[in-house]
Amino acid sequence: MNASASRPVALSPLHHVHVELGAEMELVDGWLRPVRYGDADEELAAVRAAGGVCDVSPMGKLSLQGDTLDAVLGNVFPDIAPHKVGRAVLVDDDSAVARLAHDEALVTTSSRRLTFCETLTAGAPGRAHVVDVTSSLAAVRIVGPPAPDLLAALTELDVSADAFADAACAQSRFAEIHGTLVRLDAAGLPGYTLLFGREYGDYMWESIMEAGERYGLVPFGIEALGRLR
Amino acid sequence: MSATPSHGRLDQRPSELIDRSSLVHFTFGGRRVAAHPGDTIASALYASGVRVYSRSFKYHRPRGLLCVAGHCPNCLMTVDGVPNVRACTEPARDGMVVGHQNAWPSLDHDALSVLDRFDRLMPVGFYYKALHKPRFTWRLAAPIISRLGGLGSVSADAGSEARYHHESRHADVVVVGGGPAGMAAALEAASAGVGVVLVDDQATLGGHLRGDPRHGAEIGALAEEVRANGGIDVLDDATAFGLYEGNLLGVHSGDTVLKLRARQVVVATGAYQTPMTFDRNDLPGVMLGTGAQRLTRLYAVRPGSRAVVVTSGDGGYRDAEELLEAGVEVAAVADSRAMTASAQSAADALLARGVEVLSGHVPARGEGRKRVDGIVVARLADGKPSTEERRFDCDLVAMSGGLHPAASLLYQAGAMSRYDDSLGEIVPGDLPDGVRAAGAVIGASDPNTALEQGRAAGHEAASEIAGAARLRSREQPARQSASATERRGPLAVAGSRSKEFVCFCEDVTAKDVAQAVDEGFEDVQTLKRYTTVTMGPCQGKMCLSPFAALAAARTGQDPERMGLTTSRPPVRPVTLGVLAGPSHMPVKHTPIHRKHVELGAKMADLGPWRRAHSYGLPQEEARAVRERVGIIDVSSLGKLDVRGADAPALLDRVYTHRFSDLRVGRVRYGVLCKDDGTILDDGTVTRLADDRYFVTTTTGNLELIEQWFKWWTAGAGACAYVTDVTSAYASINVAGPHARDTLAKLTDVDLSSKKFRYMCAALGDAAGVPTILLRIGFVGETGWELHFPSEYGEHVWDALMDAGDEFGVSPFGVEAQRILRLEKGHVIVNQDTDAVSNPLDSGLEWAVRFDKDDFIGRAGLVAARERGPRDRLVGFVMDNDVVPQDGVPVMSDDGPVGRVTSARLSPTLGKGFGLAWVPVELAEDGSPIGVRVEGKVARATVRTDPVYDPEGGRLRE
Repeated sequence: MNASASRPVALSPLHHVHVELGAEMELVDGWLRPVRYGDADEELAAVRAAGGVCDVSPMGKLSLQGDTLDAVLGNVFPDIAPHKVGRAVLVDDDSAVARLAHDEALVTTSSRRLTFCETLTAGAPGRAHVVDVTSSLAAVRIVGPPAPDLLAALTELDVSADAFADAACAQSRFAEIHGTLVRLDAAGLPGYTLLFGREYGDYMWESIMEAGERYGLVPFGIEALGRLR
Repeated sequence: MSATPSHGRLDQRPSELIDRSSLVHFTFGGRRVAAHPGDTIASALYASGVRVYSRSFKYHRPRGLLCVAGHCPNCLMTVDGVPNVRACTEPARDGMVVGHQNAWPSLDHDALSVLDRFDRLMPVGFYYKALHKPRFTWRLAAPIISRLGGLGSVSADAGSEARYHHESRHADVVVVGGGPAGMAAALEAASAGVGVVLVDDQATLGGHLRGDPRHGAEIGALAEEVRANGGIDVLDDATAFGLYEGNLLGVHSGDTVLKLRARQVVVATGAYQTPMTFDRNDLPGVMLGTGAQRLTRLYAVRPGSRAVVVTSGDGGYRDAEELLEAGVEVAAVADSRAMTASAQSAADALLARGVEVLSGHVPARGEGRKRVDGIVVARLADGKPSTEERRFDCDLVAMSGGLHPAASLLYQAGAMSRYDDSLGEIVPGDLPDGVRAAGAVIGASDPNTALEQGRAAGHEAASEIAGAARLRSREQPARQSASATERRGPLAVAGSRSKEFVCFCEDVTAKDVAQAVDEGFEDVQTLKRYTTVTMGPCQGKMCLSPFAALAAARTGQDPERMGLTTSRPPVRPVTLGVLAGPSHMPVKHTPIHRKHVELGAKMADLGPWRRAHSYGLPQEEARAVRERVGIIDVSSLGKLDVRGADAPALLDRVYTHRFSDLRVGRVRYGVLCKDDGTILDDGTVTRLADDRYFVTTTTGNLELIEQWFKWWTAGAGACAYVTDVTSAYASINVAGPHARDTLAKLTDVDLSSKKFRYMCAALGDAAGVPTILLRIGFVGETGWELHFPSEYGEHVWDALMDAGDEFGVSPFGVEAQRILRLEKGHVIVNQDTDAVSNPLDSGLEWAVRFDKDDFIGRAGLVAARERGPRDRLVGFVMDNDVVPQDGVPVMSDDGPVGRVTSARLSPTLGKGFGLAWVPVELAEDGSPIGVRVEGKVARATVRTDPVYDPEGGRLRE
């Protein structure tokens, strides 16, 4: 083996979209990520006014499946066990568990992918198992006042404030393809994480931007994202 | 033409929508036309004196405004390049370019109106009857007919800039219709605290009572109340075009389709006024009474100077009063009924104002050339028009043929229908769950009944949602008001004249309908299809009622049994662009997509995936793989992770091969069959651990196979988990004599032929990325298929290109791969096989293990084995370098006996070659066969061994 092989760089399915938009890219935990497209302050202001979309595909995603999910989740998250289907529970600042069905849950985490993978696997006795779907799924954060209306243009899921409040989660079709939506409001703004097959990255980005055109939706980088907490 | 739009206007009207203080200008047929903001194209044109708005579909007859409500075909125009726009509802905007359709050289002088004189030669369906012998006549005539007939034409490049949107919304209660019933329903439901969306296809609320002299003020106040109610969201200018399963309403507004899902729907869509059928009832100036009203009420446009009202009910008297009030002289009202008690006082009042009232009279014919200048009415005697006629000079004939419920949405939702004798109409009967109706759509004939029904429907809908207990109870109102005893007179007394139009859209006359009935089309559904009545742009709004009445009369059936034609969406036309929605289709890109684009690859859509077809010449790419090393992105391969204690049993059951005995670290080819033993899919199965397999499927079948596995897992109650990991892995096949040299630079895995044998697998790092390495050889060379996390797709691709540089590495696309696999005789399922192929006949008998327990397809395969094959899939080589097309027949002396499934030029032989299905007797190696190439039979030879490396030594090196 030739030692000169460069260190692997992980690319989001939306990587080239960011490059074409002139984003400033930075290596974060092995992934090249868009830090900002211009000025982070302006991005933040635009998100608060017109809404924005941020690529969060690199975050860790773990799918839990099985009949004994309640027991598994109870073991691993004793205090906050997410037992209610259709609800997401925050584990900490950057991790959440979305209970999608009685026998299915999705853990999203920005830094604790491996830890969770181990503890969940260890805590999954019998008929439950953990699949790391980090590489399978693209993910975007859609944040800002027009986010519910924008999503209504993409999905038949009822995303109105009453039916899909903070911490709601569901699977549905978005822009004609299957996806998972988790609502996690941020900084007083409606915020959603939309996860979908990474092969549709370019298509979904176009669909979101097209639907967002009328609101003036902007892309925003991870610097602004960090400040939206 | 006058430059000021105030010419032809009435004095200020309380209900007018126009802003007299300013002007906009548009062009019509090159002329500049002034309009007030609030005008429609049609109202501005009418005010400026235009009376002919279109030429008819078949006979090119001049047509004027009829409904003025966006229902009929008479004012279809091309606006800013968009054809078939309804001028009577399209707002006049500054700078818009409006043109007429279906007339040459102009609307007023259409040369094709000569067709009108030959109507006798062109009955319904004339071209089917006349233009079929000799056969070429239809070929000649069809393009001419389609040019002469029809509507606007679509410009090939129009709309490319257009953007359309789809939106979704959920609501507690959706009320369709902004008239009295709809507004009352919305207010009542909102007062119960549920969310209400009110969909109205007009710009202002009020329905047909907007500007009504008697009820206008009351309705205006109600509209104010609706607007002010925070619980009601009013969607103006929005048409509910369909009511689908699950209370899903399709709503069209501008460039948007809204998918509106309601827990409860209240349909209050009102009714359409029905035209009357008489000779030349299509002359410009003959319009619906409500059309004339809309001109006066909404646009303050004088519809004419001297009018005759023809009616079959009390509505005509009210229309006459309103015309008088707007300053139009009314010469006469002709009522097809004998004088009724309900009409007596209105008739007396009109008489007092100098209007002649003729009971028991029907319109006999309109007179005039390009606009009506008089009408003849005839007295009815024994239900037939007598020769006792009266002629009146007039420039306006207002028709009031009764009200036809606008019930399409209800019928779409599954409502039953019943015949209402007093209305002389079929009206909706029992309604499905979650759907209610109120107002004229269910026969309410006066505003108070409509309001009461609306309130009741709104209350019931809200109760369903909020729970009846929480609401104050209401008395159930009568479904039908007691006063609705007015009985409709005949709409027409069909004569034998040829210009009594039933269908204005497609120029179908009463005579055409009668003739069709006489030809045996006695069922309303077949009669509709044969005559095309109700199938034009109005979708039955103008014609269904007279058509049904006429059909019932001619066939002698009672109207209830005759029934109506089926109601289907869209209720009003919706352009295809809006229905199609956003302009792009879901397309799948592999993690290495951008590399192919950068390399200038020719991309091809294979199913939902966009893949690299070739980067240059496929033959060169194939040569590079045979002689040096090539890499191909195969990320689109379906990939499944199958794990669990019962995974081996699951695979033994679904595949024809055995996988429970597959050793960890080994790869085996597998075929999946359906129950009958025909081929479903194929792929490789790799055992990564005792309880874990990595399975590949063909690109197009992944979803099907995932479902198939899960189905058989669930059915057996097995402990086996199936996860689609297609997107999780990028996949690259490295193949060729230098594949090992190339890959060895990137991995510590021992790739030597002793340590890493053909059909083996290993887990290891490649280019620093954790990878599943499979030594398999679809293209017939030493090679590895690498599967690794998608996010490293570009990294590994670049690393392989760099590492292979010294060996002359070449990327290769799908086309080169197809050539290479064909040289090895490797089958592509669904390309070389079809729905009736089984593995025994397809040369895959080695992948079927009859010695294991039952598996899916076993019984079918046992039967097939006993029966013996009739045809076999074999290789063949042409005598020279001609390449037959995929799918051409294999020929014997007696004719076609088989077919070619794949054929290419072999880089190895320099000859055409491929795979073909041939009869068993021709399936022997060396059998001569014929293959059809460009209409001739070319000679070829069956070759049962692969063209390239028949012993498979290259794969094992």
